[in-house]
Amino acid sequence: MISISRNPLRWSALSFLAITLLIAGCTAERPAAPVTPPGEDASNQQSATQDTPAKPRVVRISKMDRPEEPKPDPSQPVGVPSPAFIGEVSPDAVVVDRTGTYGGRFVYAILGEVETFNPVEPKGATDQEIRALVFSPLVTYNNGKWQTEPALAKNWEVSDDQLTWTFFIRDGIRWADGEEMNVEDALFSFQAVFHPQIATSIKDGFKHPETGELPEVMADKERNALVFKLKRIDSQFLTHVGNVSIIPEHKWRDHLQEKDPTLLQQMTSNADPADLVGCGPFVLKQYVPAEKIVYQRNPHYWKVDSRQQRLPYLDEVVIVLVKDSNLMWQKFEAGELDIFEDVPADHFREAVAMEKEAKASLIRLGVSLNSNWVCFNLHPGKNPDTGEPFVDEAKAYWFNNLEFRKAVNHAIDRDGIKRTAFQGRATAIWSSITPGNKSWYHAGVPKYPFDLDKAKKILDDMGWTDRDGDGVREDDLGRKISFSLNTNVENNLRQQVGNLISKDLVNLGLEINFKPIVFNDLVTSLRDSHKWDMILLGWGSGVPPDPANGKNITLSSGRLHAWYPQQPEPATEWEARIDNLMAMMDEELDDKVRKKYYDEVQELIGQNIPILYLIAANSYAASQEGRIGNLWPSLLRPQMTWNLESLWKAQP
Amino acid sequence: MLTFSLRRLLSIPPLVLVVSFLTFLLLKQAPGDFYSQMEADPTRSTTEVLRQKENAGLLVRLDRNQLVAIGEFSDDGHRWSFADEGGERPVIRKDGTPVRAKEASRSLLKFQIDGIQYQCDDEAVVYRKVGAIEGFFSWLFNALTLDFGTSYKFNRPVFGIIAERLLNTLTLSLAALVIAYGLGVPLGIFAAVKPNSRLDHSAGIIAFLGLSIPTVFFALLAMLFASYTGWFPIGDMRSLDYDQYGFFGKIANRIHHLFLPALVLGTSAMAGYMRQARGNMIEALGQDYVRTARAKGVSEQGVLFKHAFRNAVNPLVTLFGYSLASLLSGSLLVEIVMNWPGLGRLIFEAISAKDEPLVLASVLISTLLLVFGNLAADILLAVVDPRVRLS
Repeated sequence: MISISRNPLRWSALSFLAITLLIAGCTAERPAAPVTPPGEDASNQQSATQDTPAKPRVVRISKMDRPEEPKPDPSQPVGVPSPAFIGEVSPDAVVVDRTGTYGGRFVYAILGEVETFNPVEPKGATDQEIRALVFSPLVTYNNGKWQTEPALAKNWEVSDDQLTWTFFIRDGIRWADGEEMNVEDALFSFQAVFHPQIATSIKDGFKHPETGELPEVMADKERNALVFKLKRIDSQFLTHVGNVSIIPEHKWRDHLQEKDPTLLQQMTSNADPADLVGCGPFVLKQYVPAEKIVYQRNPHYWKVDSRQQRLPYLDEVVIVLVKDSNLMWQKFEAGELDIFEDVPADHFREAVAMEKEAKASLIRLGVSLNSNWVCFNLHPGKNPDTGEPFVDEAKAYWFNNLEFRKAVNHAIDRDGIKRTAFQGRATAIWSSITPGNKSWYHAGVPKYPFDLDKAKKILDDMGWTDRDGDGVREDDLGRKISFSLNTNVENNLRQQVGNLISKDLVNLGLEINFKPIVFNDLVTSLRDSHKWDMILLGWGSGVPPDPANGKNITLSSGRLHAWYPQQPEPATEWEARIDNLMAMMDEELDDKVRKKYYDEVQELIGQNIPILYLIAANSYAASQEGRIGNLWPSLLRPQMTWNLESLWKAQP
Repeated sequence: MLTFSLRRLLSIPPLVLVVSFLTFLLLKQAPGDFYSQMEADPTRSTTEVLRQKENAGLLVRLDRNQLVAIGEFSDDGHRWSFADEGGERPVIRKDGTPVRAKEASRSLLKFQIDGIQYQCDDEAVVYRKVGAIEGFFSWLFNALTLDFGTSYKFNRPVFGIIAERLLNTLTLSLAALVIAYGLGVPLGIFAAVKPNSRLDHSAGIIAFLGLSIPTVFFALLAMLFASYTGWFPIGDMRSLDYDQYGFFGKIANRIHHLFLPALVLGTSAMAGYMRQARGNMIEALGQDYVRTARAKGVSEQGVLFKHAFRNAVNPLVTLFGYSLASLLSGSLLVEIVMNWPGLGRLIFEAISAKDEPLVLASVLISTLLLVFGNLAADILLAVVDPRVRLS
């Protein structure tokens, strides 16, 4: 007793520990995830009745090289949808080859915030991703199959001159508010996007590249079809049509005034959920800023499964809005989230650990479509205020030398970057199209494998050697070869890559000043001030992953033609040839021919190396083990939620 | 006291004016603007980005007469001019010969005449860049009519957006303030009553830990603690099923979520108050009047709370005024790490994205809070300390 009173601190610490252990012991036991071995199929079949949903079987999808298309399982219990469906199934309903069980709440998280729910000008990446839950387009892109397929249009026709496109609208489709959807709504949606006073980048794709003219659009009520008359042949027309979400005319007619339309001020982030009327699989139920978006089943949705049961299976979808990717991962680890898209490199080990404990499936999706690159400033212009060249004379002399760029390319140890920065989970690339892009990858582009001796020899042969013994080479005019490398400070991985490249170039005998700066500054210097030497950045890939999406990068007039943007006229012959090839791709509908054109573009860039493509990371996604059925993960974004209408959740 | 308050209130308008002007200038001086991100997106055309900038009031589109009025100018070695020849759009001449819009737009992306910057989109529509001073005055003019602008990001009036988050942040920072004062001041006093005792030393250790551990780190530790033990939710302000709970269930749920963030914020602030309270109290206890009181035979409690504490409390009241100003922005890091849907997060994103109207509105609110916090502190001071006269 005496010792206790003398040392109250120790005693209280001990008792605290004891209580801690006690409570931890009570809560540590977590219910295991529902996994049913395949052998139990028979018992499932017996209990597969509507009112007693048995534990359905969810196929384990990890350990697969490339996720396969899920197969329908007729033994699956049907379950009871709540809220229930309303009205008749459309005679034109799409049949999806799946089965599933009704019910449940699907929870996932996104980094970001809703800027607007308006599908006419979805501003941020989040807005673009979430609009597909509520709104449907005429045609849509299937991330699993990598192809465009019909949505609200049941099919389409192209005239022989490839200038008239006719989209036939499905009959009997209803808006989420019960009104009938028809060709008038489709016409209205395109009129909204084409309105001269509505600023939306969805309009860009439809514009004629020279004159800026938009296609004519009209409704053919007799055939319930929407007809477009194009001013030129456009191979990407289907993609552009797929970007337009169909919105109800009966709801927004009065906001598409001829002068100063107020449509973009509607459906903002504080809109009444009842105002967001679409044809998508879900309707907005509640939005709490910075917390969550809650959706529930659209009772009028127009897809059915292989048993003629209506979709979607899920009663509710909750998107948790998170700001910090670490927290997001912790939520997934704790089981709060059903899936995790784009598992970042720093959580890879934890994901593998979860896989080993059979808590989660880690899905290996292959090489990402996003590329990392470095690029030299080849801008020949002068600053209009000072009259000084953007790139000073010595640097321009080095950077414009093709042999110098070749030497740099040979000196960069892509394998080293892969091992050190990416822990081996990446692939070296030689073009903007990574091996992950099955449709457009070209294996025949020129490659410049790591060979420091060869790189040194190239510089030695030009007489660019170190003459004063300070370890840095001088060019043939005696100027020390020293320049800076920038990247954006927000990206840790890129900073690591930048350090490795600097080291490689120092080994080659160059002096590099590596400086990560704020992204906004970087973009400004790339676009406006043109005051930079060498830059390390990356390109993301759009959906569909067609090179026509990257015209702003590839064309010599492009704003993001990194080495010399917005050229008044093509600066070199090969850039003029690329401009031509891109124009030819626009007017060619046959993807095989287009691929040939783009192979040449990739070869031209590989031969002239204005930009040095480095590496592409491997892509991973994760889902809780045995929880979500019909998952068909894709390399294209969104990786797992693109087929949300046919996902279903195993009931505990 | 009334005239004092009035004078303080009268000083608000010039203060707000200066603060907002400086904020505006700083925002304009940093490179890039809200639309820089959009310009870095390959899928967006210059035309649509510039049109959005026009809607936001960053650019002004030149009409036909203004274009013609520009006259002849030179850019990149060529002479350019716009001539009205009755067509739908003015004719663009390059070195005297008319050129197509597409060709002109490739050369004339950005040009400058007499220090005024112009920009040109893909269809050769010319915009003039709104300067910092001009932009400030148009904002000020609208602000006088109580129109504080529309957020670039959300396309909605700024105060509606701020109001959505205001209450969440206030809940968190007030809870933290209660913890900080409720624990800090009593601990400081007890430490002062028995200086160099075991209690004093352990309080000192807590204070140094609180002062030296960065809030972010502490918040991350708290999140790890929550995820390992499962006793507390991992971030958020309430659970996903919140709406299905009854009244008391809702309150319990909120407190459960509030506990860790408030503790993290409160303990780091507590350390300062504790040291302050201890120092003041020790000083007050050494004063002559305390000895006199003790000599008079006043009870120890009376000495402590009637004599010493009332004299020691003044600096704490002043500190309280300042803490009001940081109520809105002080919890930024905790909000980000612990996913609290507060205002700090919103303002931080607005600043990094350069959503100017939102930044200006939040700076205004913080300024007003600082002024009113100081006023409140002064008035409180006059109430607790009869020696202070406000005049």
